[in-house]
Amino acid sequence: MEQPIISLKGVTYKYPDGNVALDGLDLDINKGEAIAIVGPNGAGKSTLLQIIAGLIPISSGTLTIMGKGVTADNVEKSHELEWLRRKLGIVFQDSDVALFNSTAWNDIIFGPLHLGLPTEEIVSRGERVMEQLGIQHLRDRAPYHMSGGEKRKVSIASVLSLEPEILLFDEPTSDLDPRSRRGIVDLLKRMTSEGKTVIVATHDVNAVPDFATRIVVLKRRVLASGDVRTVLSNESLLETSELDVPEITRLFKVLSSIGYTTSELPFCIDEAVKQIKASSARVHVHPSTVSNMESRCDP
Amino acid sequence: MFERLLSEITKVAQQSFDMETLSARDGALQRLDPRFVFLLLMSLVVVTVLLHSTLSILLMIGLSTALAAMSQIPLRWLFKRVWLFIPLFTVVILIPAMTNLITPGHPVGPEIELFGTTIYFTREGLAFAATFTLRVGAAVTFSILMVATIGWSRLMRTMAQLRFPPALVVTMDMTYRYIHVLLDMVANMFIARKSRMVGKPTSKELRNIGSSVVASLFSKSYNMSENVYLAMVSRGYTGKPRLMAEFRSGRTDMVFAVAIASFIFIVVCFDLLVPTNLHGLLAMIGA
Repeated sequence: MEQPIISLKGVTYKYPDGNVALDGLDLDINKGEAIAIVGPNGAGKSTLLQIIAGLIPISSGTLTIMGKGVTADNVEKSHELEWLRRKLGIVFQDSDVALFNSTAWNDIIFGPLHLGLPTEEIVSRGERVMEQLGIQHLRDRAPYHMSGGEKRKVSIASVLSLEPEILLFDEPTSDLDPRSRRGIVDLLKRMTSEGKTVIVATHDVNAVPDFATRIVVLKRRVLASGDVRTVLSNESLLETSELDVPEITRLFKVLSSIGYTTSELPFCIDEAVKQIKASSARVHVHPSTVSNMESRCDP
Repeated sequence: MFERLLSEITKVAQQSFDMETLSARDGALQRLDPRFVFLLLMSLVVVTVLLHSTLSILLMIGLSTALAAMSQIPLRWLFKRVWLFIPLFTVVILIPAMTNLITPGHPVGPEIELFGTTIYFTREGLAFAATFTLRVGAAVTFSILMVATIGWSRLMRTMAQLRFPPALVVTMDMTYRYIHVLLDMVANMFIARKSRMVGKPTSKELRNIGSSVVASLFSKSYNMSENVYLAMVSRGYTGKPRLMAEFRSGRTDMVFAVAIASFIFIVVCFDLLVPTNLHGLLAMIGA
């Protein structure tokens, strides 16, 4: 059996003030997986990503990435983790944190430049990722003259230019308009189809079924881990972890309560379309049922 | 108070936007290698500061105006930035130098008795102040031209390629970058406060609001600085900033360099031959 690309055993992380963010966390991630890490605020999602990225040292336990151990000692001496920087990229939630240069181009080439790549390679990578994300027009623009969606794309480009095998995203769809959000979800799907290992910490359960092959429910430790259908069908787990099902699933739950029959609940638009096409059921809705439906749809 | 603060913040953002817009214009200086423009304007600043003759300084002001016009920099915008404020500041600083206490000479205007000493403005002191103000104005004009025609980001890359210490360039670049982020934060905090207030706040309330905003901004900027550092480390930063060289000089740069060097040579020769200040100049022409 192939070894996991990332392995965390009994990982605990305590903040300097003594509060525990992660408590004895065990998690194995295989190459090419697209994992959504979900959980309530304060569950430790961002902390977990920063630990995997070798940015903050674990208090106890072991972290192995591509068969190599990442210890608290070599996290402190950041030059000892150069191999990790070449293999793994992290996109921060706050784009203003990730874009610390005065132009998009300078941010995009920052990684390759600091890994000591030849100039031609740096320029080629920079131009390639800008084309890939359609942001050539932002090349010389300062971050304070960009919209939220543009900043997010540039911060993703600044990580993709490292050409990492493992990509970590912290809330990539938060604070984005619907079109930008769609673009980011499509990008996550594309990354997965290219065989990259993608790990996304998110609150956006609507986006999860679109790209994730596995969901990990986190609340200081792993509460559950499994495919999208198994986890999102477990109502008691969703209750415990303060999560909800995607909007489309809620809609079909309401529809099924008024007589629409489906073989199984869909979790994304594509599944819903398949369900509708496959279903021969027709709904004849009485006006009183409509008003009942409206009350169910109220948030 | 809120309105004034928000208006000042907007002005800062507008100024940086103005600079970026001007640097993107298809002007003479914008078309040149920014390294050359940087060195050219720096040397013009140095030469201007070293000039003695008022007439030479006026020639340099003429050159700065011509360069601005050739670079599609609106002269009104430029003069407003230079000649509205610099005379005010320099005159205040130079008031003692205009009097017989620092610069003895021919009295001009009324005399004042203070602690048994007669104080009056001197013709020589006023001439010195006028020359000094013109010199500062010319030097500042060249500096503004530098930022307006190169643009901040290209200026930083230029300094990097000219072998300025990377730590200095990166620090300046990040400072400029995050001033905007922090100003945004301050503006948002004040707007949030204003949205929850009814009536005009008392001065005590304003002080409380001000101090809580400062404390909150400090805490946010501290957290942000830690996260920025982590973002840099995650992309290979190990404590030694690196910058990429990217500009190349062409024939136009050389032609421009020769023209400007010739102009500087003529002005310096002129400066050595003509009287040193406005007073001497006025005496020479018999005024």
